[in-house]
Amino acid sequence: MYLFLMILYLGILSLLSGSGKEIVGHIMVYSDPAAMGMFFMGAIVLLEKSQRVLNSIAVSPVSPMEYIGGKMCSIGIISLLVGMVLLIPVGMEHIVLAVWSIVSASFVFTLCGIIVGTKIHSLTGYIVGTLPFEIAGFLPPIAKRLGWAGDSAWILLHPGCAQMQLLEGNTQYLAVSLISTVAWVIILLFAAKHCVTKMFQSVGGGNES
Amino acid sequence: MRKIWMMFAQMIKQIGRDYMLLMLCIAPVLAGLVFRFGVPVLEHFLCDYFSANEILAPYYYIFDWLLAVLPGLLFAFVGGLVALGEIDDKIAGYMEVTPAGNTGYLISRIGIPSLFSMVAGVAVIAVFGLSSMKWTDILVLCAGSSLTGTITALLVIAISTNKVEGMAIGKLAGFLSIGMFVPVVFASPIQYVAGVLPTFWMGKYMLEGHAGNLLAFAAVYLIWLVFLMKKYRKKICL
Repeated sequence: MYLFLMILYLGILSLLSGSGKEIVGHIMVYSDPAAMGMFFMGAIVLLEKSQRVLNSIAVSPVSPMEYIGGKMCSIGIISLLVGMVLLIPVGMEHIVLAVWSIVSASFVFTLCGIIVGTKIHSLTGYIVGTLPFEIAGFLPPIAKRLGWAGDSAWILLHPGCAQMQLLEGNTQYLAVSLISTVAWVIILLFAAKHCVTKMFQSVGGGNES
Repeated sequence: MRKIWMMFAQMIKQIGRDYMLLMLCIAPVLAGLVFRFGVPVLEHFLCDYFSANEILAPYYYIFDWLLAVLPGLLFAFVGGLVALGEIDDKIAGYMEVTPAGNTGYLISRIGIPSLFSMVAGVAVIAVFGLSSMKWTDILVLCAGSSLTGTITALLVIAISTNKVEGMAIGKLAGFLSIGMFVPVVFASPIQYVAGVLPTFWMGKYMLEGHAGNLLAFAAVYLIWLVFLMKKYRKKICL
């Protein structure tokens, strides 16, 4: 299914040229493959709940961190692959920065998805629950990419803005961008661990080690 | 019919608990406000910047089309998501033995929301519309959009094997609406490649008139509907 979407996106990019293509390409990569985790995580967690997979995982030796790590890696790899394919026609200033940008954005969105996914009981509830994260996650980086947010280092404290800066290959305030993206992944990782631990206790019972 | 309404009321209760109902009411109004007040400001800014008389104004009707498409997509998609959850939880299959039956179930989950989406679409365009479309065109556009919404929702529940696939198909199904804008972008006969999408004929009708385009829309819509209904029945067969 994602192959179809990718072809469609490549088709749209082929219609554009110059700086417009770069801007649309970067926003496309950030808002879809990178944010894939947030879109799908609710459905994944609900499916695991309905198929009683979570109950089995909860009583198995798998720790919440390993469960979260598995989700981050599987979605991260798909995000990276699709993102890199979309970046080929757009071009990359720094491939390493682009890779970290997509991977860290995927981690951030997947972790947000896990945090919301552990608390919901229906897909519609998940969509409503992720809405604030989507608004807070998408609007500032898109505004930044369109040049509406200025060049201050402060805006890089927003993980999305820092990731967008890296995706552009912009090395200004590089340390701030890198520290911001790493710090947000760590903060959200601990928040997600807390939520998954609670979810495991509710489906598996007992205390989490 | 009472049974179907009861099923629909139960769905409304469910999405009301998730605040999805509130979002369904707010989203088209919010989009309408942005288009009604934001687009003219943007047009003013662009005209000043490029020293032109008009840039977006000749295409205001496209913003109205987008407004009309939104409730159709949104309402039916939510119905589709509810049905998707019920299929995964093995509830939908048992609907066949209820007084409403499978068709009644689908009407309650997709048909009635689509009907409401048409009313919402007409209201939103009447209040926030930028171009001066004829009433008959508004009605046809909103009816076409809500019918397309049913195809989107059916695609989600008939093709997918689980919730995750359903979400992916939902994302792709949203692109069905793109067909409406193909006749605007491509004037050459290559545009007819998009003729497999019902929305393409809706766009053609809105641009050129001709009842023939509406007939083509109905024919393509029915082909999609019959195909997806068959798929759905096969899928939920216990």
